[in-house]
Amino acid sequence: MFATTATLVLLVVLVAGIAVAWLEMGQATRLVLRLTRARPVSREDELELWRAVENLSLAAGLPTPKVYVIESHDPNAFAVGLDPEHAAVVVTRGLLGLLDRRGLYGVIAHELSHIGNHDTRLNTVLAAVLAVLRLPLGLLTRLNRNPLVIKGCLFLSGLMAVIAAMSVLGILAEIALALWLFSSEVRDFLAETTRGKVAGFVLIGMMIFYGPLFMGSPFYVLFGAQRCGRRVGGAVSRQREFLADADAILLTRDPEGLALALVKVGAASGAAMTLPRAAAHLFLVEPLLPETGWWDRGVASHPPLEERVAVLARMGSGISPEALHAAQRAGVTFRLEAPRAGGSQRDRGQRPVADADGRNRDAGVGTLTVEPAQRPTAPPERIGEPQSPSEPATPLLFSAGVVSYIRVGEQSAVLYERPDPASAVQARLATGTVLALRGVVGDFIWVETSQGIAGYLSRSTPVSWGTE
Amino acid sequence: MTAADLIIGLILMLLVVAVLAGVATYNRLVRSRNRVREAWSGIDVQLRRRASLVPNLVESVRGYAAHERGVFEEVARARGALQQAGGATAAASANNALSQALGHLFAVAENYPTLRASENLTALQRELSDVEEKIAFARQFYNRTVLDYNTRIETFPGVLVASNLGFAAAEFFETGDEGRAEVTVSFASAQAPGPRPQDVPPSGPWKGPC
Repeated sequence: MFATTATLVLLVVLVAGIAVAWLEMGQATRLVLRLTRARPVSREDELELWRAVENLSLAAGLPTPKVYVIESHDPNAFAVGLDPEHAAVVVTRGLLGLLDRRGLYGVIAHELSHIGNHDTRLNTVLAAVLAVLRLPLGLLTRLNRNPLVIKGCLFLSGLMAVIAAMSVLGILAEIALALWLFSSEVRDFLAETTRGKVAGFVLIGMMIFYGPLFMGSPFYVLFGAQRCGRRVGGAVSRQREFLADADAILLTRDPEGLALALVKVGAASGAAMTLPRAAAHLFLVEPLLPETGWWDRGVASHPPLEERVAVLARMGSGISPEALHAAQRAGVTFRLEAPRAGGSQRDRGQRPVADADGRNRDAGVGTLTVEPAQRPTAPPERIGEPQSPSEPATPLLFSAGVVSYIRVGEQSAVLYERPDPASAVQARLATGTVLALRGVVGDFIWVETSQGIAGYLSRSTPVSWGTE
Repeated sequence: MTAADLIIGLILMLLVVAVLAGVATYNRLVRSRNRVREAWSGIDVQLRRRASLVPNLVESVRGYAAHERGVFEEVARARGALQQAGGATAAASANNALSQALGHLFAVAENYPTLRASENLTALQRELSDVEEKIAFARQFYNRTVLDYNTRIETFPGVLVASNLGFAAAEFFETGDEGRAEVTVSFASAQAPGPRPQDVPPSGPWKGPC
């Protein structure tokens, strides 16, 4: 009787699991598109984009995917779909504004290569699974904006997991001790009666598997699962990005076009997107997401842009540093012209960083006092040319500190922990402090000091800024 | 089990393996050829679209310059040749001839400012340039599949099967140099020396590139 019930329950659980997984597979594309707030655009509205997609899918021998746009200033793009017949290419409004035809073709070719290589199937399913895995943490962070509560929950669940692990170790030690002390009695019990044998194995198995499962599950559900998922996704996606870059070049025959587009997009990625973190690995470049806490740090979903650009440069005949710098400057300018969060669209392109009181209104790229803000090394003459093996690959100086810096104006400035004036103050910065610019998040500028302290300055802080 | 049995068994096994390998090679060749056909249909659709744009274009110019008979006839001839073209090479040269004829037609249209400014003509021109771009991109995919297929029937496992089972080399779709500077890739020129694909005469009524 008991056995039949157990089997029934098991069967029901199994069927339900398969059903959920199947539903998730079927709905994955739609779920991802909804998560990222992408909406379909007609051919008439976005003729250039559509034509790029049509032409390049002809060149790739793929059916033309659907085209979606995300209304975000942050330039980025991704592809979704379980197979090439049901794929979609998604770009942000910012990407369309930032890139010229050449860059757009490079980026679209990259995304189509993801579709052609069937990367999108894995990525789409992964995004959907991650979105589900992140639900508990998301629910927690949404219900409770107090970071202390979240940290407390994570700490408690972590403690439970540690206790579980330790208790298993303890039990195993006890078993070993028992075997050693009463070896004959235990052996007799285990060996002589079948019942004893089964009981022994079941007991040990349950202790080892169910103990930590029950005790550790809160930690796993809250933190471990999504993080493992993202790590796996990141590892997979990092390799596939290189492949998609290479395949894109097969389509466009223009490595420089894609490389410069990547530089531009990398330099312009600053306005944090309102994106679920579960979808981060889908994108062309790693999207900048609002900082939430330590539990979200340290999982890169993409290879460093420098590496990708260096590889692309080696495919062609190298890229001149002037072109790279021009692309970076274009990206940074684009980022700083980001419309303010909640501001009207009319502000677009009119607003330098510090203009709350009319100060620095005409500050622009390259107009300020030139201050070499801790430049590590000068860029090589032509990247991509073979270098002597003793020299390490030269990084392309993407770090925003080289591209652009911010200097605190006449008053001292306050560095907040989060883009929120109510958050903790990390540091007070004296007049003239030079900061590396990392991004623009709503009404805040995300900066890093030379000591490596990252934080947020209010946009109304009087600062001057420039590149190089 | 004697030594003879063992040898017979080995030979039988080798035979089975050889047959399986032959079947696999044949299937691969068929798949590859079908890919070439499918890729060709990508170009074919665009060529047809281009040909179907021509009458409207001619009509809109004829309204202004009815006396330029020679140009209209040239265009009509080129269009007819494109529609009848058999084989990728023939289609490519017919398409180039049409490009040339259309160049003459637009040169005529240039002489009539009102025609040049007409909404109808600019729309047609836009569509035509879209089609031409698409032909160039589709050509890229087609030539890649042809290269893949031709390599397959000329290299080792394929070459044993190909000629016996009627796998002929496919033709590349090559554009002339005139007015096609925007085309960036030419797989044909990157190909290793070998029988030039255009040397293969199209046999009988043309059904596809192979």
